[in-house]
Amino acid sequence: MAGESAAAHTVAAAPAPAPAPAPAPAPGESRRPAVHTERISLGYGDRRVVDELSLDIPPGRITVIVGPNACGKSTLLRGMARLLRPTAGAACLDGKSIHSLSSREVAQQLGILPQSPSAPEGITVTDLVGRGRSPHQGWFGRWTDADEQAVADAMRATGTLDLADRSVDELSGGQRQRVWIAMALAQRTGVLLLDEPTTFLDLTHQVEVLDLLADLNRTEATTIVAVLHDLNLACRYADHLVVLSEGRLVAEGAPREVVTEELVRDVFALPSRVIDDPVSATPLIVPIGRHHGSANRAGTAAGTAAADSVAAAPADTPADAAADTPAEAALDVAAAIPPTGAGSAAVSGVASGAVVRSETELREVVDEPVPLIADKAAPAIDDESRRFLEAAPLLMLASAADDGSVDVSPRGDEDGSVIVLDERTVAFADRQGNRRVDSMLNILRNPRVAMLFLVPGIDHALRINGTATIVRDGELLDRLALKGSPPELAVVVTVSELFVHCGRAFGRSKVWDPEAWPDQGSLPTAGTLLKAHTALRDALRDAERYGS
Amino acid sequence: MTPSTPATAATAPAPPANRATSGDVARVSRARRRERSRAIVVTAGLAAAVTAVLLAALAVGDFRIGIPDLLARLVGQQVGELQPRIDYVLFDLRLPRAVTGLLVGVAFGLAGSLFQRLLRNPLASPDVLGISAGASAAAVLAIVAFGASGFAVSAGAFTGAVAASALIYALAWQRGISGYRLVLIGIGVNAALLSAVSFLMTRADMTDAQQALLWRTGSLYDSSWDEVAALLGCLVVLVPTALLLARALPRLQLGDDSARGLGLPVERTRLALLLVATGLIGVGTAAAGPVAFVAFLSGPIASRLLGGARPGTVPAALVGALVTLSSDFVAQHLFGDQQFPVGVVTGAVGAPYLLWLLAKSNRAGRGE
Repeated sequence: MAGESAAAHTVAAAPAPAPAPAPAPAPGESRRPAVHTERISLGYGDRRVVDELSLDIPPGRITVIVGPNACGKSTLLRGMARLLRPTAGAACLDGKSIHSLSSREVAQQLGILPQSPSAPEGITVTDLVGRGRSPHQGWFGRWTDADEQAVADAMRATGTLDLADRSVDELSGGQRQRVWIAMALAQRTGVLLLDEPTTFLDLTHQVEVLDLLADLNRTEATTIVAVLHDLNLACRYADHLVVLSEGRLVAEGAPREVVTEELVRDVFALPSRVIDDPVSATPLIVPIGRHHGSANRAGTAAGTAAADSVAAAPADTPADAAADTPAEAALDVAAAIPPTGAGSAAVSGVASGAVVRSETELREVVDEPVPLIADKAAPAIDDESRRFLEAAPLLMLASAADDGSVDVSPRGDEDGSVIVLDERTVAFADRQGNRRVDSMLNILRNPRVAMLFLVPGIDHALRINGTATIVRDGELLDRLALKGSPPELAVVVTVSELFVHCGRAFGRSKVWDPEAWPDQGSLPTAGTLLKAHTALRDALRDAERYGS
Repeated sequence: MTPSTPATAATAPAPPANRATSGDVARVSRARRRERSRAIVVTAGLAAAVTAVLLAALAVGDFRIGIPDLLARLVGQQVGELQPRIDYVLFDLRLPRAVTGLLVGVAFGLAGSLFQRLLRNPLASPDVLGISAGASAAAVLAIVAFGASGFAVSAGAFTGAVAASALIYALAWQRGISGYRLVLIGIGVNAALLSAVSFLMTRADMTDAQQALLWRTGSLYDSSWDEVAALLGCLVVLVPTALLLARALPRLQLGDDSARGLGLPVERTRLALLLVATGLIGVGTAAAGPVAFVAFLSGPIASRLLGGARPGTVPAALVGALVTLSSDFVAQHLFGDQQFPVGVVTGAVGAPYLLWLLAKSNRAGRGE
């Protein structure tokens, strides 16, 4: 298996992510008021931008709001900061509608850094940061030692002490943004809202600003809510990701739970691949675009595959994959995938001359099949096949994503792994597993599947190639109910071909012969395997980070 | 996959300590004190300059009064046989004029800098925006149409300033106030009101027109103690209110969203500031006519002197007084026998500055 797929497999074995514990509040920190919105609607004039949106901001965590342009993310932030009066619903601070509080009461608990704020010409860094103290001074207040301390703290935390005497005009974009954040920090609020704090910054400064926010969150347990444009940075820094589209909440949760290729496609209209960020292990969105088509994607999928193998790939199309199903865009991709291992510049432990690279080379070794066998595929389910299928408690489901990555997973039920709906259609339940739903995701991208049906004690097996559809409700789910509870999803497969697999592999392997079974205690348990995979993954990650 | 926390923490630099040391605090204090001490020096210097010009205005003239005599009379000491003449020239002629100049200058300087800071635009001064023109139109209307003089003209001028201000604000309001829209509308209102003034002048008879023209140019000729008392009474209320409200300027300078985020009720504060500034302009114009460009010049001059971005309202008020007093001094004494109204001199200084500012802001693409 090629590198990328192997990595994906390792990930599949890893336990589901546990939420990171909230950082312990530092002593003497400012209180963290709770922020939430209740069916808040916001707009400008007649134009409604945010529509009845209810959102809870997890206290002491970093929440990042993302969404395409004009989805209402900045508007929502302005509503939460009391900069914009809602047309309906409310933004709340500690359960009280923020508009029932005075500006000053709000400003003592919640800071807002607007998008590209403007500093008056000639202002010095210390002067600007000091203005963050004004909510604590009021009309008659005087500058106190506590104010001075708060300003110095804020400037230390943001690394702007060295700039104290400088004019803000002459700073770089990143420095200027740190100064603005220092001003917001001098306000000493438990909640900090930031509207695109990284806009107009180069990547270095974007990371610098976000690291700074993460530091604040860790050391002061400040609740941070930021609107960000960059999805990958959002995934990396967010504890809680909020995805908006057209003024509505589309998804929220930990980035790993929320960000999928479907979401990116549906919300941002962007075909992409979502892989693991090699540094932070958060989702990494790799856009596909129009100019980097299927062949290139297959190359990426194969991970280690060299460019020449990709170019050679279409000629090596496996016979099974070229079956007579309707030509869909996804299938072009499937056809472009090099046979696993073959064509790769290096296959571990095999001399390159020993690798078979074309059908001609293959036929030099393996003769053409006899005509009966060559035509053995049947177009539909006959009565005999139906009896076999209904007797099979276990099936192996093979699916492939549109990028060529492949997945095989077992499905089984006591009463038979599938029900036969008619001569062209079978259906099986998708019962709750580890929720990685790799096969389901593959089916969404590329509906073609293959299923191998196994009956214990019987050496031959049946295989169905077909096109799968995921079904989420209806009478079918009731028919697939197990002990009265219907599955959440069912998969309906329209059969395009049916094969008999001869039993020689089963016979040779003695898989059904209890005498040949190994001693159960001698093999690693699932838990042991999971642990081993985690250790291997961590070792690889460390090696990558520190250079091996 | 495991949560991202340990992975990122391992490579990121250690988070900075979140508590500043006393050295850090001292450093911040120093930076703040540097700006503060410059402000104090500038304010003290301006106050000294104002005092010097004031004394000069009192001492210099056809009848010269020596500084020792002048100071002695001001504190009520006897000065010998010249005392009756000195008292007449000093207390009946020069002091009312100088004090009016001082107070009008303070009012204009303060009002102008409030407008400019508030609308974040150096062009947004009351004499460019048409507020002074509103006062002129109302005063000229009072003189020409109703034959008014004295206090009635002043009342008319004050009403005109407030009315013009309200009109501009109402026209510029569009879910809030944007500085640029207000400036453009103000310039339009200014042009309309000035043409109304011209129209009134052509309809007036000779004496009225002359009186109106003199008033319009801005002059301190006929300042009396009655006028000083009225002016002082208004300023005793308006100036402290303005200085208190000016504490909102550092936040308003950062833009509306930031100001709201820093706990300022923006619309209310801005309206109050505009009201007070309009009141100052109205009162000043009522006393001395629209002395050209004092409001427009004072804020920027004070900013230059201060450096940084502090609002500098007190220095601006002092600059206003200094400009008015020295312009009046120049107008009275530097052209031999020929005397001019003070507005001629301030206009001669202010107009080139306005042109320069327009050219500069056009090049830079912004007004601030």
